Amino acid sequence: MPSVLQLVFLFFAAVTVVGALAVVLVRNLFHAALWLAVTFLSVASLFIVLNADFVGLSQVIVYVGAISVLMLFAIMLTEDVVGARGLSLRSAWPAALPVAAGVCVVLVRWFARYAWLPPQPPKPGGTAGTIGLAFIQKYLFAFELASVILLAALIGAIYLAKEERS
Amino acid sequence: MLFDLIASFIKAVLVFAVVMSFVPFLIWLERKLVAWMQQRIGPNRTGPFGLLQPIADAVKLIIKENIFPSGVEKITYFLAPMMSMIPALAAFAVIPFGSPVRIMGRTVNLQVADVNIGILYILALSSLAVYGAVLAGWSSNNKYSLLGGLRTSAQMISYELPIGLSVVSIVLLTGSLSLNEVVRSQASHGIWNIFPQFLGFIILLISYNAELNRAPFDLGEAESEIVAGYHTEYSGFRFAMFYMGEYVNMVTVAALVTVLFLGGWQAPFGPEIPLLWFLIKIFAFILLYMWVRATFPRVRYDQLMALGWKILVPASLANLAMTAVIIVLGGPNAVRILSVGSIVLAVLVGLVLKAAVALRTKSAPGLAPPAGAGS
Amino acid sequence: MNPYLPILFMLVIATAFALAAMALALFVGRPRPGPERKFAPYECGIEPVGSARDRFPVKFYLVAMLFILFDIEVIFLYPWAVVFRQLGVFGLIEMAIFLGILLVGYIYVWRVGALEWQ
Repeated sequence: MPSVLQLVFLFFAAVTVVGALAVVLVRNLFHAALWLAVTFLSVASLFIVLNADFVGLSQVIVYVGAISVLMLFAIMLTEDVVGARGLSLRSAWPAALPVAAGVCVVLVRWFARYAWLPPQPPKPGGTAGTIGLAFIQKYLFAFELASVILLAALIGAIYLAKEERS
Repeated sequence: MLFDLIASFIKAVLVFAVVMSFVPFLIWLERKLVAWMQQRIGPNRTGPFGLLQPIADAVKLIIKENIFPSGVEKITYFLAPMMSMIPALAAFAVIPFGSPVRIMGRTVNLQVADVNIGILYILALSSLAVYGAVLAGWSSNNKYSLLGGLRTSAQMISYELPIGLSVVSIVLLTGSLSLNEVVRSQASHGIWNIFPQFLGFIILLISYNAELNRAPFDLGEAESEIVAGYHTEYSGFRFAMFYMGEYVNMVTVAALVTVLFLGGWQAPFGPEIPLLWFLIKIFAFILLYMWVRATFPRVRYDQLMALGWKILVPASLANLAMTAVIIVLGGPNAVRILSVGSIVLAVLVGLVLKAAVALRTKSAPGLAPPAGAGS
Repeated sequence: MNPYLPILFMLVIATAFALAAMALALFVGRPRPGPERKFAPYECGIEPVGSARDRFPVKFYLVAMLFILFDIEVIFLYPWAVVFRQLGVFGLIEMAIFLGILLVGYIYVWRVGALEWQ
């Protein structure tokens, strides 16, 4: 008899898989981006079910609230995708299916070998503080490096938009 | 376990019912107040003082013909109004609206979900609100809808930055992302956050006004330019859903600001009566927004974006820097020093803003809208 | 009990209400047939001209892009802010470096005119 939490986990896991499949298979790009947002949301829910609430909510803010919106903007910017219906299945899909299944089997077997931690009880003060300490102490260099990467992305974004404008 | 489950379910239903019953009243209040401020009478035909007007509107809207205009994307068109309403209601779940009470020998939090990163949860849900505008704008097959949806979504994401940055300063003062802790820390500091975070409060006030798409920042539905913006093609109850979502959002924002800056459920004086002070503060904040709406003319879109990116983002960064430095250096007196520093900084930002506007007016005396500002 | 379970209740209640209201409206206000122009999108009274999904300025894309980058920065600030009091001066300096690098980016964005809405 699975617990309530396991049922919730299974539900969101199923939504994630269905959403991810829809992203790949739907022909209408705008709908694909929306399905991507659904997938991100359910992955965030999975994080929350696993007591990693800070990661989960950051996922919502960054991936659903920002990156998916950017994708929707980009799709609206480039192409007239209205009216595209149905699935986008190319003629090669029968060949792709066994490859995908094979990769899946390999990944699952590989993951099964890993000694997973047993479920951790939720931290009383929440996970945000732990992450903050890790940023400043253990992963300080990576943390500071992140700002350099963000800076590079910033300049890249300006450059791209400028190119298109001229 | 079972008790907790049932209790939280009952709380969820109650909070839903209370917030939803605010909506018609607020709609009536806003119409009446704005009418008075504009020397009009406002709704006065249905019931005493026109109090039943929202009910009549709801009945009318629900029996309206349900039209799908030609060329709309049916599913996204149907989902859009729901997406503007559900996140706002769900965000209310983490708002603490009273100190814990004892019922049947158990302590019950007056909060649907006691989440220890409630602040982040509310920010996450308000970042979802943008989907209502994007979906409505895109699915409507209408030029005004698309423009309105784009404008609204760009505006909402732009103003999320100053909101996020000012809330970080609150977190610095509190040392926790839990909304309960925020209220408790204000009690232990003996001073509401509005004083040590005065500039943050002003920034949040302006930013949330833009986030809610209320006048003077209602560019996404500027009727003089783009008809009704992203909900041009919406009628009947689908339109009502957008309309209600706007007010639910306003209640949620008012509750959030009350918790973050106005001491939550605490009484400023006198005995602490459960819910009373919380409701008074929420209503005071909502009345302020209604007053703002009746007072200020709508800004231009380039002005809106400039205010967000060039004034509010640097101002909230300055506020963050000042808060961090004073907390480290000020020791036990930090909150008191901040209360002074915050007002000084707010005045400084105001002066800079005034100087910038003066400079701009001098360089472009006609104040002609720049080419392409309408897009 | 997982503290997020009540949020699930809240979400379910809100969704159920929205769905029920929309379904009720669909049932009560059934669309009646009419001439084609009754269902035409609104365009100030004239028949719609051209496509409603015209291309729009790249500016909106740029705003979304800049938003993502600064949003990630804000997210990084939260865990730091929670433990800030324990870290003291050290935490202040670390974050000053982090924000300083991004401030350079902000000034660059401003200087190249990416914040101008013209």
